[in-house]
Amino acid sequence: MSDSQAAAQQVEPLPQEIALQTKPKLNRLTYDGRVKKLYGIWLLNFFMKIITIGIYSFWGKTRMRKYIASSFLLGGDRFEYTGTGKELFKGFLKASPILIAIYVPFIVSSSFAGESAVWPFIFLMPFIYVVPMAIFLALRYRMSRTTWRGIRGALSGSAVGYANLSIKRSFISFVSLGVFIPYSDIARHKYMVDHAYFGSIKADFRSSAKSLMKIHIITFLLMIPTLGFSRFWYRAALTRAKMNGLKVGDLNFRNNVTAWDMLKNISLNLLIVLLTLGLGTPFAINRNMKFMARHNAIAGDLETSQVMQAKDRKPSIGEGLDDIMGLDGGFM
Amino acid sequence: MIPVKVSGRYFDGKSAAAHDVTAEPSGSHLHIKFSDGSVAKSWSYNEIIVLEEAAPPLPTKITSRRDPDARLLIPSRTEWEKIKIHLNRSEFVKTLPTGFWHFVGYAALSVAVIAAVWFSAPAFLEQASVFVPASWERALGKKVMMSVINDPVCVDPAGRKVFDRMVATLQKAANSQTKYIVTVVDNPEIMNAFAAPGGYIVLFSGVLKRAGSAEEVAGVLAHEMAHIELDHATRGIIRDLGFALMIQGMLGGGHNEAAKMVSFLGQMRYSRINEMEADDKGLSFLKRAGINSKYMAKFFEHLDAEEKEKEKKDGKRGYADKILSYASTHPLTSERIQHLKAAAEKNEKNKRVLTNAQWQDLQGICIKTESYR
Repeated sequence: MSDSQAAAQQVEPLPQEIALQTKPKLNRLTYDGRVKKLYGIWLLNFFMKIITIGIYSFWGKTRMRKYIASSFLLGGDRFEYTGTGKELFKGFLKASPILIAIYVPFIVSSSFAGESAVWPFIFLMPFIYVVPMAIFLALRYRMSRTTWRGIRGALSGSAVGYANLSIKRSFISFVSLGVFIPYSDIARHKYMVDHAYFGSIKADFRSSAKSLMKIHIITFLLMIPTLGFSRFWYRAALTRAKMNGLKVGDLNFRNNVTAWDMLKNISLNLLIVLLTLGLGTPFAINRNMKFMARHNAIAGDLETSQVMQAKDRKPSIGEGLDDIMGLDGGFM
Repeated sequence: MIPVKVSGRYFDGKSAAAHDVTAEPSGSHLHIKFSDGSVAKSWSYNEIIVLEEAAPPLPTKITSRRDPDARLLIPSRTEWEKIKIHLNRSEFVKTLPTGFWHFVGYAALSVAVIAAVWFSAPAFLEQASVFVPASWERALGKKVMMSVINDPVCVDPAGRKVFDRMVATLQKAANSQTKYIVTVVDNPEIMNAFAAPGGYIVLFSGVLKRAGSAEEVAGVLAHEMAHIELDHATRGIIRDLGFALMIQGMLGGGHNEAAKMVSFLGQMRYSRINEMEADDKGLSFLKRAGINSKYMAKFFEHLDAEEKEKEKKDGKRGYADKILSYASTHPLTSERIQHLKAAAEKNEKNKRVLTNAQWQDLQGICIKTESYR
């Protein structure tokens, strides 16, 4: 073999080299929150809530969220929660009249209903609309108040739009006797992601519900014999599908949680809270955050300045609706 | 003098580029410099806002009033102190302290607030009942009657005439303008009566069966009328609701079970207080009508005897009695009897409220019945 021929042969890269070159950098999410610090905040919230007959809860929740957010690190930099107690309180004030208007007719009609359940059923309808709206508004607020390296999140779209979609999807799931649940779950998630922004970069969702159908049907049929535990396998598969399909610019989200992981995590946290009659809650929260960090990562080159600040204004209503109904999507 | 150089991390809030910088405090400004020495930003000391002070592993976080999306993070506590001394006119975001003695203070204050709410909030809450229109009370009363009365009502004309007369006598003694609507229900097993908002009173025929005299029945009626005169039902609803909301606000969230229990115990306690008030007020009506107070106590003695008979059948209760009494809407019968007997005065009148013939008529009120609906 001549020298030139040998040289030409050396250029061809080995398969493992190709893999190394094209494999994106995996940036793990880390959490370094301290249980002691969480206890301090939690205990403070407990006392201050009593002293202020509950009004402090908005500031207490905010303080907890701030600490937890800043304990998460990505690429060496911490997240920041920029929400305020005042915003949550104002949201509560704005949402209260609406909530009273839908709660009162329902409660009054159900205590006087007697045998006929007609009126209570009618007054239940507004809830079906208001709950998905509250979920949307809560997410929009929290995204806009979460920053990383100074970039804010944002959620466009509308609460009404999301509620319409959600109701339509619930109907389809119901009418199909549960068969199309994965499509509904994915559709709801897709609406959120398609309207989500990190700075000026829109998020994308690239996943289909088809891959979930098999695990869904199997775990659905096994629900009764396994007392519902089989659904953990669907939940885990759904979580992975939701996260792995999430793309922001050239960054991809990665999630590797398994059903066993989820089962162990939830069971242990529940046990801790129950056995300590609630006093162990901060410990369970800390465990849960560590769990989330362990199973989530972002693939791609973080050192990109491509992601610019969003030009959107902050939404004016805090999570008023969500706050009172006890829903608390996301972080905690 | 060697210029102070503090290492930090800087985000301008416009792009995701993070920069390792040095922050150099001068006389009037804090200069943020890139690694190549060029100045990224200069913040004057009075525009700086200190968001958080270093609590390892968390860094100190500062920003500028004019540039609120930007962040300068200073990881080292000691280095931060070098900058801090310049910042006397800067804004420091304040949060409630979490030191040990602070917690002792918070705990003490919490106990005080809980005590205040437990003992005095209900009285305030009840005042709101003045806003409830009489028409609502009547509508509510009617609904309550419709849902509770499942037996026929007693309508023998002679009996009703006597009964209405007794009600009128007591009403005069009570100096009351209320329009009472009193119904006798044919259920001899129930030795009880109750009052609903709007002036509705229900007397079960068991009372007539077990009472030794018309005066005892008058005692029961007087107690129920007292509930209405004192507006216990409506006040109770508002008080219970308001109290539950306050307790939910204080203990809700992660401690819902505790909140529910505390609300429940509070409601039961005030219900017992109301019952004692009705005993006292009812007694005053009886006295003004000239009826001897011993009759009210007598009826409770009958009630007590019935309860003790039931206990014998079910087996001894002992201590459970006292403990359960805290979860009960009514005070212990034995306590009520003692209280009533103690309220007896010397030289009380002892008028008969009905003649013997009238008492016979009243006892026969259930000879004729009709459906309530």
